[in-house]
This record gives sequence, C-alpha cells and structure tokens, in this order.
Amino acid sequence: MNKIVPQIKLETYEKEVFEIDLDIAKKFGKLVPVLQELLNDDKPLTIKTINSGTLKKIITWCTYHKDDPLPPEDDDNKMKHSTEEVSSWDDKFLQEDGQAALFDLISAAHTLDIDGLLDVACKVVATMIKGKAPEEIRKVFNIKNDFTQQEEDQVRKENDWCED
Amino acid sequence: MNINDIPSELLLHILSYVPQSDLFTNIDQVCDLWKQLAFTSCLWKHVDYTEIYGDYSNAFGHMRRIQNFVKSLTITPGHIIDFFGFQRKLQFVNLKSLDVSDKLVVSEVFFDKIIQRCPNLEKIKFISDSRFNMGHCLEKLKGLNLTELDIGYFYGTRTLDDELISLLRKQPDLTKLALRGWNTLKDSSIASILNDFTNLNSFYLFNGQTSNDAFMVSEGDLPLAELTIHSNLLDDEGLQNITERTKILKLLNIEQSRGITDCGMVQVTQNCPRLENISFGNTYPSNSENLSNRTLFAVAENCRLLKCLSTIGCRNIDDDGIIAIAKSCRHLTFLTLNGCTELRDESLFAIGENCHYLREVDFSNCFNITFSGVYFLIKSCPHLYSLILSFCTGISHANLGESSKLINDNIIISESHSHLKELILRSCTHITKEAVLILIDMCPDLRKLSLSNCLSDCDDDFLCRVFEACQFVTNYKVYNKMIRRQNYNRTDPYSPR
Repeated sequence: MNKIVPQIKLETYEKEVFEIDLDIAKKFGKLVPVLQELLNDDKPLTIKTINSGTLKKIITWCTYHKDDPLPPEDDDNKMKHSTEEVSSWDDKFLQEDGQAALFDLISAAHTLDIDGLLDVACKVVATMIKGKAPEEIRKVFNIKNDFTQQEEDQVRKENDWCED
Repeated sequence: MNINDIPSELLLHILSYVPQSDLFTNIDQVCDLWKQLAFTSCLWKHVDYTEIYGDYSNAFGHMRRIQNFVKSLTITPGHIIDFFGFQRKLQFVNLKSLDVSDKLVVSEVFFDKIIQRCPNLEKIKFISDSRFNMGHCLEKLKGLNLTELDIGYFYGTRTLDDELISLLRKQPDLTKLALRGWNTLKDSSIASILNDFTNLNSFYLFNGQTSNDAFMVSEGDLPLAELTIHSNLLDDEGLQNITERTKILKLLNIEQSRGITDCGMVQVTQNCPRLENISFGNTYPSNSENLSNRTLFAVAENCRLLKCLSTIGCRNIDDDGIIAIAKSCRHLTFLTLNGCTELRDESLFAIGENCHYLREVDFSNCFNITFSGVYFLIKSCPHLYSLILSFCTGISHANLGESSKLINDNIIISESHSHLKELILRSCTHITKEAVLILIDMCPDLRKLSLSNCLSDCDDDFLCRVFEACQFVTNYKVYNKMIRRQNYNRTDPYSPR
C-alpha cells in the first residue's frame, strides 16, 4: 500500500518543478528551517542557480544515502588530506557525467548545504588531483598556465631554496 | 564549468583532501590561483612532519612559510632540534598542540627552546628518561597555559611528586592528564591529584606500580569522563572505590591491570551506567583469566550506550557473553576480540543480526570462527569498514553453513552493499581462493587487503580477479609477495602514477 508522503516543490533554472519527499529534502541543510512553510505552500521554491540535471542527480544521491548514519562530529583536530572514504557507488555515480557536471554538483551541494554530498564530491576531485605533476593537472582540468617564465622559475626557486 | 570557475572556498575544500605533500610539490605550480591557495592557512593547521616532508630537501624553507598557520604539529625530537637550533628562528605563534613523543627523548636545552618558540601551546606530549632533568622541565612548563599534558618519564630515579603537583596548580584549565612511566610517583600523590584537580575529565596512568591506596579517595563526585589505569597492583577494591565517584565515566581502560576480576567489573557497570567505551584483557592471556562472561553479562545489562568494547586475550569469554552484548548494545561500533579463542560463528551471527552500526571489528586469533560467520557479518553490517581476521585458521573453504539459512530466513539483511575498506586475512593459512573471491566480491570499496602468509598456490588469474573485484586496491600482499596493480595490466585514468 502506498503511503502519502509529504513533499516539497523546488523549481530549477529551467523552470522545471520537482516534487521532493520530505525525508529527502531534510538532507538539504539550507531548506531545513523553512521546510514546514514549504510543505504548506503550493508555490514552488525557485532556486535559479541549480539546473534540472544537477537537481535530479542530487535527489538520486540523497535517496541512495537516505539511511546513512550521521557522520561523526567534525573534529577540528582530525587530519583530513585523505580520500579513503569514497565508496565505489559514489565514485562511479559522481564521475559518470563528466567534470563539468561534477563541478555543477559541487556548487549546488554547497548552495543547498548538503555536507555529505559536498564532501564526497570534493574527495572525488581530490583523487583526480593527487600524485599528478603540474602539467598533468592542467591537462586533466583544462587549466591555463598563467605564470610567466620568470614566475615559474621563481616558484621553482622558492621550492629549492635552502636557507639557514 | 571549469574547475577554476567554482568559488575559491570550494576549491580549498577540494585541496583539503589532497595530500599535503602535493601542495608544495605540484599544486603550487599549476597556476597563479592554485599557487595562492596552496599557501592558505586552513590547509596547514595540522602538520605531521615525517608524513608530509619525508626526505624533502627543503622542509625548513617550506615550514618557514607556514609557521604561523600551524596549530598542531607532530614531529620527531631530531627535527625539532633542526628547527630551533642555533641561528634558525622558527617561531610557531599559533601552535596549540605539539607532539614530540616519537621514539627519542627530548633534551632539556631544546625543551627550553620549544617553550620559547611556541608560547601559546595548550597541549603537549613528550617522552623523557632518567638522563633528562625532568624537574627543570616541569618548572618551565609553568610558563604555558595547558589544557592537555601527556608526559612519559621512564626509568626516572628522582622523586618529582611535589614538582608535578606544583605545576598542576599553575594549570587551572588542564582537562587531560596522562602520565606514562613515573615509577617514583607515590600513591598519595595520585590520590591528591585526583582529589584536588577537579577540572580533569581525562586521567591516564600507565605505571605498573600504583596500588589501591591511590584510589582510596575521599567523598564527592569526580567529573572524570575518561579513566585509564594500567597497573598490576590495582584490584577490585581500588577500582570500586574510584568508580563509585565517577558516575559520568564514559571510557574505562584497565588493560594490563591483571588484578581486576569479574566482581570488580560488575561493580563498575553498576557505578557507571554511561560507559560507552570499555577495554580490559591483556596481551598475555594468562593474565586475563579473571574476567569472563559474567563481566559481559553485567555490561549488557547496565551499559546499553556501549560503543566500543575491547577484550583482548580473554580466553574465558565465549559466545554467550558476546551474544548478550550484541543483543543489548545496539550502538556498538568498535569491537576488539583479538585472542578470545573460545568464540565461534554464533558470536558473529549475533553481532551481524543486532549491531548494524558496527564499523571496526578485530577477531584475530579466534581459531574457531569459519567462513560462514565472516560471510554473514559482511553481508549484514553495511557500515563495517575494517575487519581484521589475522590467524583465523578456522576459515577455510567457502561453506555457507548456518549463514545461508539466516540470510534466507530474511533476518534483517540490509539492502545496502558492504562498504568494507580494510580486510586483513593475514595468516589465515587454510583459506581457499574461492573463499577469498566470494568475500571480496561483496566488498567493492576495499582499499586495503592482506593475504599475507595465505594461498601459497595462487596463480595470475586469481591475482587479476582480485584487482577486478576491488577497483580501489592498488596493491596487496599474498603469501610473501606484494602484488601491484600496474603489473596486472588494467588502465585506470585516475590512479596515481
């Protein structure tokens, strides 16, 4: 038997309206304070900075991770700098639409305040960066080398610079 | 969208997951923006010197640029000498936490420098011995306003009780105190530390010769949340005495305190119902025979908030005890049962059925557990990320046995797949290739796998299959060889070279 699940409505950049189950919407930290109002409101909330593809992706991610236990409290003393925690499902899911979509997703996760998604998406990007030489990083992400030859020498010098 | 179009704060978030050593060897040479980001203070709050710099030739030059960013530093005494010696003028004004406890001892000359160059330290951890003037150093520490103090003082011959207490008097904000070694410390001094410094919420004592007298303390509740005592002279009476006053205790560790029996532990569970973390037992099994199922039954009855349990080497506990724990402590996340040789699959079945938040389990040296129990545990605990089964020689061919019945009976098996990151099967000498493949096929997230001292007969086909099943594993040990992914011909665009 189908239960009636309370839903909220979000409108994307393309003016497409999505109906999202309340338990999924609760993952959107940004919306939590206004969820109650949104539930009673027939008019959708418009979020112009997010496109439909990205929102779809976010809903899928939040649905898959619906029952995850809360992450341990953020401990400032903990060392990060590691990408160990990414699961194979997340890895595949986040990379399958290419880089541009992934960066859209990161911005959107940030806008909506979905910490879990933001963290895991950033870790996936970090995996693409780590262990690579500067030239390779530029190639992978299509970044322009805006150093002058002089500056480049300077950076190199700073790194080799030994002083007592 | 290009990576450089996303806001800098998010780029920094990404870089916070990149190893710090990449930041000064690669990231800072990508482009102007990345160069600036690589020297942002938030990326350099925590520095583990050896891990980051390894044998990088210009660690000093780099350290000089980030010195004001570092809030916590782990470093060897040798490198500290490098930094603070002679003309070098590194100053860590924002450093709050310093750990120099790695292997070597610090000498008092450099200790003076540390205090001078790191004036705002709040937490310090170091080790010293009899060659070191500990009295001088305790005096120097008075210049800091500490919240956590961890001092190892080994083979010391001088009695420094008065100096230590006088230092503690100058530290009104101290909440954590750890004393390792300290053979000369008198019981009466420990008693007065516990009685007088009521801000302490964590007390750690690793000293073989503290007796009950240290804990025969007067009336009044203590705000201790964490208590660790490793002493052969402590027995039930002393433990009963102290825990009567620590009603809000969350962590109790009495590993190596072999005088404690079931009687004492039963009392503890009644005194401290909020216990979340309990460790007892001993790496020498003959020293932990006093503790049995009776303790576990009492824990199950009284400490329902239990999250971590460690019973290393307790040969007297068996399935009944673990089943009781599994049924009533549903929030169990860390479980170390290394050397509890009586345990059988029944324990794993009970844990799998009841403890869905389990994250780390160590069943090393439990010779009686079999494939069936391990299979069920992985299948039923999707949040499990570390499973250590060293020397579990009972695991052999892939017999599902009881577990297939349990799974068929539909006893809450989560739909989510296993997220296991670490699977250690070291010296499971009877395990078969087929059994290994069934286990790893369930664990697509695996990062670390060890089959060291197992499967002396494996072939290339098997080695390839492992890499196919575990896309994140870059190398693993089989029998006596390290197997590397690059030798098994599979392209992965994002794996580091």
